[in-house]
Amino acid sequence: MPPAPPAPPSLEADRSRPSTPPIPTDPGDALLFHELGTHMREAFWLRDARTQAILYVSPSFATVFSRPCETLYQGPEALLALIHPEDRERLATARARVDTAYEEEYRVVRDDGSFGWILGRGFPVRGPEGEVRHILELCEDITPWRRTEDDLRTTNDIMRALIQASPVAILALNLEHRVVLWNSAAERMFGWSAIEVLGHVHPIVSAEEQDDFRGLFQSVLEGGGFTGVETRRRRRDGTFIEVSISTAPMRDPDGQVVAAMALLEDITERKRSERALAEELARRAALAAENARLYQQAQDAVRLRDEFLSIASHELRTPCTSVRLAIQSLLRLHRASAAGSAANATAPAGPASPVRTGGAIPPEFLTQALEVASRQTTHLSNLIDQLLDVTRITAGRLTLHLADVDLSKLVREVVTDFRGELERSGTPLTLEVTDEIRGRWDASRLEQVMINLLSNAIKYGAGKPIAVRATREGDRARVTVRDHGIGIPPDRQHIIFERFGRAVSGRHYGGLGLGLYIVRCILDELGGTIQVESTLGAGSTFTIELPCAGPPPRTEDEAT
Amino acid sequence: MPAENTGQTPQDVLVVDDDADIRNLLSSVLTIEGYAVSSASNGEEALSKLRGVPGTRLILLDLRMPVMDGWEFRAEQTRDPALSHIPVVVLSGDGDLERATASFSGASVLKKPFDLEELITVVQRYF
Repeated sequence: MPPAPPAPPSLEADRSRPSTPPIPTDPGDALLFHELGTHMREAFWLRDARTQAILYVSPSFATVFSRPCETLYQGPEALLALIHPEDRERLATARARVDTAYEEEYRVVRDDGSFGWILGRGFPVRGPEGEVRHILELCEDITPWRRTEDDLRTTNDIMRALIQASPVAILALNLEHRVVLWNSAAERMFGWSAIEVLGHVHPIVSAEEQDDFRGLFQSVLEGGGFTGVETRRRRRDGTFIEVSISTAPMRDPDGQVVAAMALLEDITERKRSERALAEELARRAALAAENARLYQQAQDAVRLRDEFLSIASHELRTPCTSVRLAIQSLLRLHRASAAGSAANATAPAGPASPVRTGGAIPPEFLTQALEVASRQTTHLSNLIDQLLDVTRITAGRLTLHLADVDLSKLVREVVTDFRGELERSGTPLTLEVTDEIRGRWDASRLEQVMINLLSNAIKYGAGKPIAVRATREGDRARVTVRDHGIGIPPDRQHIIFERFGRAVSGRHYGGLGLGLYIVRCILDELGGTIQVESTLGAGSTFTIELPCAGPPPRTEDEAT
Repeated sequence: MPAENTGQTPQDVLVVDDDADIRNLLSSVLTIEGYAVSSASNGEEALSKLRGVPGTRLILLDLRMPVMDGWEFRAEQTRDPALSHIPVVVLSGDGDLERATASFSGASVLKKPFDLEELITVVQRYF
């Protein structure tokens, strides 16, 4: 609350105590004085230059000094008593020079004990002779701004200290990209001192990053600072560091953006460790995947081996069974016959009353048994050959004995050898061969190829007709073996030439699962090819082609 | 002379094996031994013979066969009340015979190559 204005618009009351004559004397002037004193924010008073007596005190004194106006009338020293002791002497000195104006900022002690800041000014008021008659003193309360100024100064000091102490490079660029701030971290990070770069266009963006930089800079100017943009910046020595940049626009008092401030954090090391970590993770993942693959491969190999051993044992046992059965049955009959010739054979008991003949071994059975034994020992020997072949192929030791071979003769002979088997399985076969197909091949390996293809055709041919055809096509020989049997499902056609690969379950069809694999390997060695066309349930056609000139010479690469 | 086993005569023993040599030899030997023998080259053929000619008293069964294998045959046989009582002797060269014949409860099992005398002893047990 402002203090109540003094009652009368006259100077009489104001100078009731001082003995000096009232100034001004003119009533109009006095009124003007009073009006000024009432409405001005500043306090003012009039001092007699000679006596130092206070002649007039404006009402606003009470507001500015938070003391009643009467305080000042108590004497020349009354004002100094209100002043902060540290400022008192300075003010006293200034006020003592009556003939010159003064301007001093000083602290006043308010009645609540707090300080206020006063801007005090004094002017000599001269008489007609130029002599100083009065001193007019004006006092303005500048406490609010002194506070703001102090606050600002403190803030500035803190900011400056922070900027200089920051481990993060802090810099500011004006609209022309000239450096207006460059802290010591920036000096360390980039190698240029503040003196070298201040006022110059900043040197830390390389030519290839200029476009990128301009885009970022523009975004700051448009008022949008950004945080944590990762890019790279150039150092004085030409090397690059990876940085994370955060920015903010700097504005003038009108709110216009005049510069962009940027904080740059060196993240080179962090990026390096991130990359190292990523690489390590990738390496471990690859290792784990590789281990999993190797484990799977090992598992598959073990499974394949077990499966193969199971099939192989079955396959080897089958001919053994026939041979043993043939021999043991002959032996049994022979013994019975020998015993029967000595005494009558004893018939075994049983409801079916089977009767063992006591005579000689029936000749047709003898033939049957011996034929089985002979055929199955051959079969057994073939199985063993196949196993050995696979071992040789795996070891890369499938050697060829190349010679002049007539393929049509060879095909005819193999088919002839199959006559018995064809009859037993009731399979008709048609053979169509060109008279003579000569080439440089391995006769026994080609025989093996034909035997395997014909065995398969009979085995999977369901007793339906088989057609074998051998022709010469330019410098190549071609043999096709066509059956009309069960065929091969499309999704199995690619595996039948693989080791142990079979199109049908081993539970249903015997065999080692090696025949076509061996055929393919032999043809590979001879420089030939094998292909299959098949329709499920309608049969398969195997076509082999061989260069008549024999296998092409091997290059070093292939040989290894 | 071995007893001929024509289509409709009751068969004592049914030999089921896809290997023609084994099938034929076994048939011959058992015929000479005095049994009425019939044969089949797979499970399906065996089922049709069993259903066509009643009176089979023993089945000699191979396991790995085309069309219908021994396991499938056994499943079909046990499902058919008219056939389920017929005893089975498994003749197999399977590597792990114990596991392979786990589903053949009560059946005799002979590992190929089997001993003929042993087989005949086993067969005689059922007559």
